[in-house]
Amino acid sequence: MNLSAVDIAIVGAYLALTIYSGTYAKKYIKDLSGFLVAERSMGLNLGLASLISSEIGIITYMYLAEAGYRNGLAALMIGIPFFLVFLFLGRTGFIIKPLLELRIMTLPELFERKYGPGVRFLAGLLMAVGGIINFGVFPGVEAKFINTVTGLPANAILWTMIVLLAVVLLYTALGGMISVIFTNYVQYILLSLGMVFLTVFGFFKVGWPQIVSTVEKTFGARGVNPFAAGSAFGWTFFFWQLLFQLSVLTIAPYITMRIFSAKDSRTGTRIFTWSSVMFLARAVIPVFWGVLALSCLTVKPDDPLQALPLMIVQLTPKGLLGLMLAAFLAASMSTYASYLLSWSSIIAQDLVGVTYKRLSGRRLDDRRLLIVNRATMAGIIVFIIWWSFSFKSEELLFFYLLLAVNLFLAGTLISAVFGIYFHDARFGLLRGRSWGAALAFVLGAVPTVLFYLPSHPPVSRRGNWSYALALGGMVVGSVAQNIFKPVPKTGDAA
Amino acid sequence: MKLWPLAWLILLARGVGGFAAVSVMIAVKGFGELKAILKKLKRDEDGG
Repeated sequence: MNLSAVDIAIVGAYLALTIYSGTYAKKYIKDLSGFLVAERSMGLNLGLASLISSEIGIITYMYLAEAGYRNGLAALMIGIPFFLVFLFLGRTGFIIKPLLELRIMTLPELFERKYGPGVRFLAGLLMAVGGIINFGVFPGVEAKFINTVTGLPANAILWTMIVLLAVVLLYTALGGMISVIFTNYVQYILLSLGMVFLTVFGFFKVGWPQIVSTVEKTFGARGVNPFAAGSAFGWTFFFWQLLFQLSVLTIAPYITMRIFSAKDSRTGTRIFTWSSVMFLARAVIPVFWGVLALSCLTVKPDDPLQALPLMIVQLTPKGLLGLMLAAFLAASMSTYASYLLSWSSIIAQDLVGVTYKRLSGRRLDDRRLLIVNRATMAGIIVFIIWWSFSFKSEELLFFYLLLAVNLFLAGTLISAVFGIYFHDARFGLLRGRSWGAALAFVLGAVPTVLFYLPSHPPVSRRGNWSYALALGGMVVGSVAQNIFKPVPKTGDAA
Repeated sequence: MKLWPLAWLILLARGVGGFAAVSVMIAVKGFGELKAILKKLKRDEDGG
């Protein structure tokens, strides 16, 4: 066991504090209206804390650290597109502002309004599959982290996963979602302390010259220069990531829900501007940890994912290890709660809800919707435990996670842009239509599906192809529909 | 120091420094925002 009594006490105190802050807030937020008051009062600082807490989990640290461990300093390139795209969105309000003006909370709603229920269903289906396959590796990887840091046996991963998910469910049931703003604040303080501590402590303990020399010795030029031959983080990656992050940050339900719930649209866009700094750090700090692990681990693990937890155990003094583990657990709780809620509500509303309406002609009532939502959540938990066990890949975990959501991202971004900016008669044959949106989704998903074939082109190239194919699909489909089925003069453009 | 390591050092310093500074801002001002929300909720409860 790597944890001392003090460490265990710190982790226990953290869990108690989280549950206490949840139940304390619940005293005041008894119903939906109380929740909405709290949500709508959320200012810039709480909005930022909420966004970062839900977007950082142990999984984030693990896949980014693996990228740094296997690629050196060049992997720090991952942070730059995040920074640029957040800054661009905060300054321009691209896609976000029109959605706020249309009073639309989720992208599938926009698709139904602009393209009809068929496209909403297709978008929901791809989002659910891509999102859950991405989410599916979380418990296995996180359990691996927890077992290594605590010193629990490696073959007890299933039990760690079950306990982890049970704690998440308890957290959610005890007010995790209803008082998410309060718990996220506590979690944010803890995780930011842990992140800054480990980075500064590790940097001074190992030393920059030692870090650079290890990277150069291990990888040669490609370890420091992302544009050198053999690097996976050159221009192709950079360009794909600009498009990818633009898509994620404008459409991911767990991000947009927080922006839309800010007290006004100015606060919403300010959250984006400030997030540029936070998301740069969210990427570069864990990548740096991976590089640090490469420099300070004397015995290299067979599984590169183990490098980060092994380094934490080696570098962190006893007593602080508990604080680190509490910080990392804090990071994961809100991520799980947020993802579970997002993906189950997409299945309930955009798949089951749309199908039910189509078959019966009636809307699914709130009680049934809630039942479907809960059943879906239970189903997702069973699935991700199974997927965690069956998942194997030679690729970086980072690339796997990106490609999984790439299944729907390209089609979604192109359809959103055409639905918002190219949806009136001025654009003639290029006016965005439902055939175009459907083709954009189908063709945009093809490069991700190719991931499962034995021989496939590099990840970043496939990512760029998704966007090119989705754009081509939108143009061809829309032009065809505008020729063969033009919009009646006063009719609906779907 | 060579160009690329220097560039990454600057990026890292910018990332960690910015994160630490914004975190302090969130910790201090966010606490004020939390108190304001609680006050508002208490007032609503008393009023309603």
